Amino acid sequence: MKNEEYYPDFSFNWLNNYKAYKTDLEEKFSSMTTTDENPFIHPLSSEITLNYRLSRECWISKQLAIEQPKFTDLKKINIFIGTWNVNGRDPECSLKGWLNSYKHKIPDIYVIGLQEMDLSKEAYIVSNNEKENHWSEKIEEGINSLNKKYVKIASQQMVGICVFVYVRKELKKVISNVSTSFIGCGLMGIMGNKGASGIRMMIYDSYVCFVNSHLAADTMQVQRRNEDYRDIAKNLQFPFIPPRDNINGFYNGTGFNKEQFYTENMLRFNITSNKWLNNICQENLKEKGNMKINFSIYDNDILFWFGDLNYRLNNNSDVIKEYINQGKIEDLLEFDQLLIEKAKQVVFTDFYESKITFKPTYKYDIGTNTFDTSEKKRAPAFCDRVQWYKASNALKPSEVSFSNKITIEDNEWIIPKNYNSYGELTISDHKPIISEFEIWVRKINTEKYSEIYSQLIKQLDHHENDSIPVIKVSSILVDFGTITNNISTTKTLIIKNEGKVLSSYELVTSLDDNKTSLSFPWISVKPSSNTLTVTTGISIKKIDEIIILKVKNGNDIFINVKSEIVPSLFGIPIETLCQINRPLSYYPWDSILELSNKKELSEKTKELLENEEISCIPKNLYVVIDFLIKYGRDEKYVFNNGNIIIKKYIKYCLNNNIDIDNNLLLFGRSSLSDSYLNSLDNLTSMDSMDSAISSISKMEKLSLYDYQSSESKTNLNEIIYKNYSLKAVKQKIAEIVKRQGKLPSINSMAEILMKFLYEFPNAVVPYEIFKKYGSKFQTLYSALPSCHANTLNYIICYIGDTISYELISKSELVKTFASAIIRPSIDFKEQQEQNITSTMTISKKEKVEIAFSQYIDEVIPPKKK
Amino acid sequence: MSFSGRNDAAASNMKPIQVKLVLLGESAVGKSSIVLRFVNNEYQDNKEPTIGAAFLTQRCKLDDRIIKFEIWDTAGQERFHSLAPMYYRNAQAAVIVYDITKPASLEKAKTWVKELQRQANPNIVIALVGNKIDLANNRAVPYEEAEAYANENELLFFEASAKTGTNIIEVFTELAKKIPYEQILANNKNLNSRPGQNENGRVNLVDQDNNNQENGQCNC
Ligand SMILES: Nc1nc2c(ncn2[C@@H]2O[C@H](COP(=O)(O)OP(=O)(O)OP(=O)(O)O)[C@@H](O)[C@H]2O)c(=O)[nH]1
Ligand SMILES: [Mg+2]
Repeated sequence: MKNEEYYPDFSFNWLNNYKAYKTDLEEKFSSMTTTDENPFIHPLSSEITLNYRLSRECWISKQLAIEQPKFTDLKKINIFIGTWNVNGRDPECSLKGWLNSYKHKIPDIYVIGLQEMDLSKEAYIVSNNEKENHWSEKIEEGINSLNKKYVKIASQQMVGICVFVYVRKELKKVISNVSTSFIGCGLMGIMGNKGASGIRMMIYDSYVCFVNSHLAADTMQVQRRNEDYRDIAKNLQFPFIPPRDNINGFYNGTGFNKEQFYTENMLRFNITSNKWLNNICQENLKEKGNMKINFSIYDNDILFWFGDLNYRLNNNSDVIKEYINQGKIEDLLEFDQLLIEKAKQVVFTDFYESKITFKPTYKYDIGTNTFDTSEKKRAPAFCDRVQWYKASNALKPSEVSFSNKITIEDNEWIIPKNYNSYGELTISDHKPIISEFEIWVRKINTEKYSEIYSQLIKQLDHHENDSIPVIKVSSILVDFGTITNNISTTKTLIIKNEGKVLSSYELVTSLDDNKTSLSFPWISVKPSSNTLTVTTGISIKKIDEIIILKVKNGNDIFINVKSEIVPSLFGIPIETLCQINRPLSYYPWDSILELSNKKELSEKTKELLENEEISCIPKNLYVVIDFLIKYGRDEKYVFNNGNIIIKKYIKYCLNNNIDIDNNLLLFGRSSLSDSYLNSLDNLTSMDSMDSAISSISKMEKLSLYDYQSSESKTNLNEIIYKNYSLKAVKQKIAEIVKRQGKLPSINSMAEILMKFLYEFPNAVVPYEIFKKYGSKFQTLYSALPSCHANTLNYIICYIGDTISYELISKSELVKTFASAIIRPSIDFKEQQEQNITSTMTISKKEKVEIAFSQYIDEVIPPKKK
Repeated sequence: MSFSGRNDAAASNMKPIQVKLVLLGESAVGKSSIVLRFVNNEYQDNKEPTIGAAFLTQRCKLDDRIIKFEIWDTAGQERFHSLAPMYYRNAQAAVIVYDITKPASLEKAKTWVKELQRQANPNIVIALVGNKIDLANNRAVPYEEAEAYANENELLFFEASAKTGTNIIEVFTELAKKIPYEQILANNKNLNSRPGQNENGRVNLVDQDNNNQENGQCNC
């Protein structure tokens, strides 16, 4: 195309909007019929419509089109169209007769098309208004009289082809957006004397366009004429004239606003055809740079095309004259090239013409009413014609306005009233044509329009707010209660879409947008692990964070994540446990971390540890095993069937260095008096023990893993919702023990032993050491750090002792303990909820079990039977 | 060339200017109720506290402009205070609400004013709204006191009631009149009105395209 260098973007991606627009539009237009339909919800996929802007526009336009009868009045305008090939003559004669020979009504608008107005050589080169002015004067003289005055709206000359529009003075104020255009046809384009000139204007609120053309001459040149027609139809374009008052935001300082254009023209869309949309889309493709928009002749509500179209009659001169003499005009039409070509649908498609009842307007001897008598003896023809356009899919006037009563005869936009020639003018070899029409134009009732527009906007707001995703979360508070180091806690947050559109969300944990926004899985796993990883050195005791659930295009939901970290013995390395003899809560968490990470100890930690002896095995592990040795010998207990309450009680005692009440666990009797227990309760929340107990209960809610195996559902609920106090716990335990004996207590203790062993971050016997030195207990023993060696020794002694009572088989004990004791050490950071035993392969496990069984035999030689 | 009635029609057809508006104020002063009244002309007696930030849009005709308010109704509870900057940061308008029956809520409103003056967009237009004037019998904040404070700080001032609807539309239209549109039109191209989205510096060409269309140049 001509201006390619201006359009370096050959991808035309920006055009996709318009393509989308079109399909959207078509889809919506065909399916949407009521304002109830939400344009933001895609009818097929319930997916939110991707392009809000286009949806809005389509919806508004469609609704306006539907509503237009409510705010549209129709006005009738009488139009006189005259066309005349003047054969280069000056208007020496009066035009009054011609211009006042209207039969129907006094014209509101005169449209005069002249051809061959200027045949001088100069006319091709320089535009000269002399002739135009001359004719203009004559026309004005012809149409003005005492009781009717006309003003010129515009005229446009293209060489000899000139079109004039006059309107009654009173109507001038309803004419706006006037533009003119012309186009030359033939070899040299503008240099030829064939082509067209046109005027486009808005009458009230309808665009009306007049095209005056002179097509190629000569009987044989039908194809040339057809080409000229196509040339003009395609290339005669009218510029967009922006409204004078550039309303703020209307054009936005960036030149023409396409969107505005589309919306503005949407109304017309229904009346003419949708050709304009295609045209404009193609036009935009070329005109990316400055968004210059042109209107084709079809981008109008009303279109007339007239002039010397030059189509002849396919017969010889004598025959034609004979027909004329006999007054058989109708029979002549059979030979009319234009009607023949139109029937083939190759020219003037969808153009209409009144029936010709007059004699051919060409060719006469000048000064006479006789057909050509010269040597050439040109055959008479209906060269001069008036056509109007009617799109096949256009709405009828009655469909566009409610306020007008429109009869059946009146139910067309253009109603022909008269079509004739005027024989009295003899200065040219053509006779002028008279044609009269009534046309309907739309007048938009601004008040009603604004009212309806506002209603639509309201409705649109409603739809838009309706299409905001509705996301419900199961809880806006995610309370992890108390979480303990090395125990991963999981909370499920159910996010449910209750709206009408698909939506996406993200969880944001930081106010700073540049920081990470975290995805959903994070919340279920990461907070507990992140905050507790020793290597990261985090010393948070409390988590209270608000994370934001951001829903795309919708509301933000704040979710409060809460938890309190209560340190527990479980998960703390053996070395550390051997170093601390007081309740865990006595030591700042930082000190625990220092010890566990074998970092350099701070002054504070050193001070705390001063005067404390290092025990050879973790004290609490000793307490547990000791209990099992003393009270478990006569029970066939297992290591995974503890009672949840008893376990809580034991853990509580261990964590706080409180002596376990053996009477309670073994016989269901509390060694403390009831009154003491009562006083304990009265210490309320100030009392750290009590609050610790209650936080234990909270923790229980979270570690589903624990109770699923041991408690029935109903019990579970009781535990979860009961308000715990130490007294209540003890009472509960007493009940259990009285009913079931001490086995539940022993089972609980055994389970806690396993928990202890599994949760040592560094195994009692790290697998690497086992691999190197594990062939014999002795070598292994000396290779291990002392507290590990002692612990191992002590456990094996305990196992040997248990075996000797023959209630629990050796193989079961080996299976239970081997992989809890001999396993890969886990780094503190990796230690999370992974099932530790699963990290060993079956074969490794077997190897470990065989070795472990040997150690037992080594340490405690089996009794000979 | 003169213009017929068509032109007015075209004027109301033009694209609206988007204005991000944020509501701030102590919990239970009636922020959500004010929005509900403004957007849906409805009122609920026992509205639950907002947990999060509710997003709603509303178009408004003002002379020859259409204003599209993008309203962020924030949670008033103190514990969410730290999240508020996300919502007022790019706002062009703020409605700070207090309850005329609760003097403490005016004090809270004042701290919001200070915070906005310090941290929000310097051109932000602020309206101070004393809500619940239907409870005038229990009035604990004199009109004059709040008005004087508002004048001093160059805030728009209204007493209103979400319950009866008194003065609600006025709050928004008066705000709309005060907004420096030229600036917004200039800025809209670069700003995204939703907090936290696409402000993370990531370059996403496709999104940016859409954003532009969604913001500065939306059409109805
Ligand atoms: N009498 C009266 N009550 C009102 C009025 N506006 C709101 N309320 C009531 O005040 C309570 C709180 O209103 P909300 O709109 O939820 O308050 P809020 O400011 O959004 O509160 P948060 O979302 O917690 O920040 C509700 O019970 C409302 O019904 C009013 O104008 N008059
Ligand atoms: Mg609220």
